[in-house]
Amino acid sequence: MATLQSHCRTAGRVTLVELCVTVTRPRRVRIENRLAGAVWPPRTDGIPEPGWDEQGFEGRAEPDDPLVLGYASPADPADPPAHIVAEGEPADEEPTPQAVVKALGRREPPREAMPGRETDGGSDGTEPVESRPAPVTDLASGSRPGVGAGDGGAEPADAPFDAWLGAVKRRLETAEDLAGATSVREAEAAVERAGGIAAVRRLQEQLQADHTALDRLAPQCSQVRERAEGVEVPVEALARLA
Amino acid sequence: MKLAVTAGKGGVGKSTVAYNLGAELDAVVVDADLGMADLPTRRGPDLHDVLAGRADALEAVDEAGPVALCPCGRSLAGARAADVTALSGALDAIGRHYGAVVVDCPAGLGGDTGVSLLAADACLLVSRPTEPALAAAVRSRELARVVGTPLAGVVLNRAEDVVTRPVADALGAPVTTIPESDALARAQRAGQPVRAVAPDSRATAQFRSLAAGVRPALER
Repeated sequence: MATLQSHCRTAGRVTLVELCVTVTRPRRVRIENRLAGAVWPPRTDGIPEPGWDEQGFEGRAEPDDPLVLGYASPADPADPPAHIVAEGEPADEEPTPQAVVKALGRREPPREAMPGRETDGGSDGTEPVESRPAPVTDLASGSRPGVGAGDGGAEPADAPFDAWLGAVKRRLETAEDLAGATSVREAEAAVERAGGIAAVRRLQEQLQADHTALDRLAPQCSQVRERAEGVEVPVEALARLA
Repeated sequence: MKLAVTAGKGGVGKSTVAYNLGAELDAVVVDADLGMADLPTRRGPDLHDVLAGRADALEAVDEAGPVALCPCGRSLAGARAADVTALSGALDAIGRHYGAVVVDCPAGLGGDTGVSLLAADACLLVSRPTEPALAAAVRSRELARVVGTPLAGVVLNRAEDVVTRPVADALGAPVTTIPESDALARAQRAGQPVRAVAPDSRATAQFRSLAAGVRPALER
């Protein structure tokens, strides 16, 4: 439990408030002003110290490190000048980007707004984004606003896969073009067609990633093909039952 | 030092402020408005590529213009593929190499804004001197408080003869006004910071004063 000791004094027409919060175990406390006037928090270079806002202060107090605070106000003194309005367990961890995105959501365009099989990322010299393999799993989180219930349906899932495979084929064509150059002049021309040496380096990295993804996919494709071969839907029988 | 420039609502001149402040601070301006990028772009890798793991952050910095820029892609697919949680690492990499970084954040209270604020050492809030814009600015200020990013200053854009004290009191930070300015409009059309087009203009003086005001917060 947190205990607040407070003291007021006046300096000219300003009231100066001194606060000391002691706790028996680490606590997060929120203290709010009770004076009938604004809180003028301590500032450095005109910027309020961390933890202060228009109503008061929020911060962490430790048993061996009391929270000592002070602020000014144009209002007359009162007793007590401030009070603890909330206290709780301290949040041990700093906010993380992941926690922020989870709490606030991402303002990403919904899948329904995406261009079709043709990508719009190729014209600016970068690889089309649909070339990323397996986008289905990382978009499946229902907690994100803007992701429709249609995600994971058969139709939308096919389009990125086809686009990815198409992008891999285009990258291979570029790589074959580069590998096929036999003279300095041909090599220069091929590098230029590929978008410069930086683009060639990226192409090489992307092809390695493609190779890994294809390695992962190949056995799954074989398994799925075997299953597809081994199953026949008894349509006629089901139709009679239905 | 990383300064996030944000706004409660769009269309208040946030990108203009980020660009001109970047010129004053000799900083790299990162266009982190992933869905509505506004700063000039070019061929080559951009922030979408960096956040999708397809390019290194330093590759995406374009030093050719009057202000060093890390542009952002314009495609919906790029915005969707970008992993905004990787932003902090990208800004750190740019900051280590170039020093000062000014981040043009998305306006509003979404996750992209929160992550940009979280990644920055301090933030600057841009608003028009109108009631809806200021009400939105108060909410942005609250978001910055929740993620623990100190507010280094407030910019009231296209503001003439505005009493700034109530705004400074409400938001808890010093206020700089940027006047409605032909010089600024000309500079924007020319793709230049205003100080390059009209070094003696009031807008240039105000950006200089703004830079002097936020520098201590970034050097702490």
